[in-house]
Amino acid sequence: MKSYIFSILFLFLSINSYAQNQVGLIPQINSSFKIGDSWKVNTKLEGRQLFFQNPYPDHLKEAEFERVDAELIATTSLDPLHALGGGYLIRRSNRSFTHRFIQQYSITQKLRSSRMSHRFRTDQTLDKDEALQWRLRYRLSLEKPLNGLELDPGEFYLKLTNEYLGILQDSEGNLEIRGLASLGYDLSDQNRVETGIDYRMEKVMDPTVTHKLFLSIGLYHSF
Amino acid sequence: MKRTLIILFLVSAFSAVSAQNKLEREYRIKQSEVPAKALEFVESSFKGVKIKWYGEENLDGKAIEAKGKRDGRLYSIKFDTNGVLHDIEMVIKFGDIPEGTRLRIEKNLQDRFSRYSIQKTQKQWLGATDDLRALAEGKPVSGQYSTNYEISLQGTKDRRTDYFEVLANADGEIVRESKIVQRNNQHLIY
Repeated sequence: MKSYIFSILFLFLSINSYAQNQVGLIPQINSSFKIGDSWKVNTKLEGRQLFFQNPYPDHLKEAEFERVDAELIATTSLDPLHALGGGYLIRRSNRSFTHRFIQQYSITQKLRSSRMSHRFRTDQTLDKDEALQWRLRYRLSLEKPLNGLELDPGEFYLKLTNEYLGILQDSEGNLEIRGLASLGYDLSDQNRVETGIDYRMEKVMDPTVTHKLFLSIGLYHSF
Repeated sequence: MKRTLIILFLVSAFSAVSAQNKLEREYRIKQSEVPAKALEFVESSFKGVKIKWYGEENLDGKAIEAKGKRDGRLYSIKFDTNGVLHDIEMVIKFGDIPEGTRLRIEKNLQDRFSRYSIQKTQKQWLGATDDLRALAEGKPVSGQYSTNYEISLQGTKDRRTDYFEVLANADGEIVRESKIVQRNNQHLIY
């Protein structure tokens, strides 16, 4: 047990010393509403506060409020399982704006004692003084009620997500991997709160991989 | 206490803008909360089966349910809150329904849905406790009991696709059809 703890500590120190990394907080407010019988709109407001970053730009502090995103996605249900849609994200970061166009297809399946969603996305990002960035994303999410076979209001649940992002920019490809483990609470059919650990491994194809670890706090409301 | 207060605060803060529309609630309960009668039935008729106990609340009231797997088949045994047995259900393949009944159910589903795909089929036994005990233990049954089939499906009617649950009797006639309300999946997608 002792050697196991030392190994983890050593690994953490190694990452700290040689890799680029960030530790921070990602709060998000997510709301959705219906338009007619077939369309649904989801809006997300998400911030990112960094508490630690290595290395960090000379003119900035180690701890900083890095960015804020506003996203709007409209989807139409093809049937109870499948939905197709698209949207737009605007990001304010480093005193400039980033624009992103998003297309997505999702499948949600009900399993015996959990629910699983597959999300396929493509997006195109326009950033100041940078080439257009294309990404192809796949995300798997699992919701597991902690009390009973189905999630009901007033109950806790576990949410696990794993996402893979293929990135193409300036004819160069790269990969990003994300993993999130959250504890959620179902306040009612319309409201949920979640908190968890969001780990991201960026620039996987580069010699120096970037590791990011965030405390994620989310509030979901549907009208 | 502190945790309860936090939960109550969060619930009250957000429930003002919410409306309850789910008709059934199911939650895990401890074996110690199960009525003795129900416990005795399950322990004697489902010996050696690992059982999980659930409480269920719906418009008809409260119920207690035992769920467990025997010979690779999932059973659920429903009791009222006094431990009186209500029914026994087991997951089967749709193809396991006797041919005559199955063909009649298929004909009735085709009449109700322009397209459908079956997700889950459960065989349901209703009857006196002793007869259901005999059925559960694979012994000859002396009294009368009835068999129903509860089918969960994805069906299309009036060009709209939804999840449904239908209950068919042993003659293949559909005696109940209800639409399953899908829970919000926003937190899984975004």
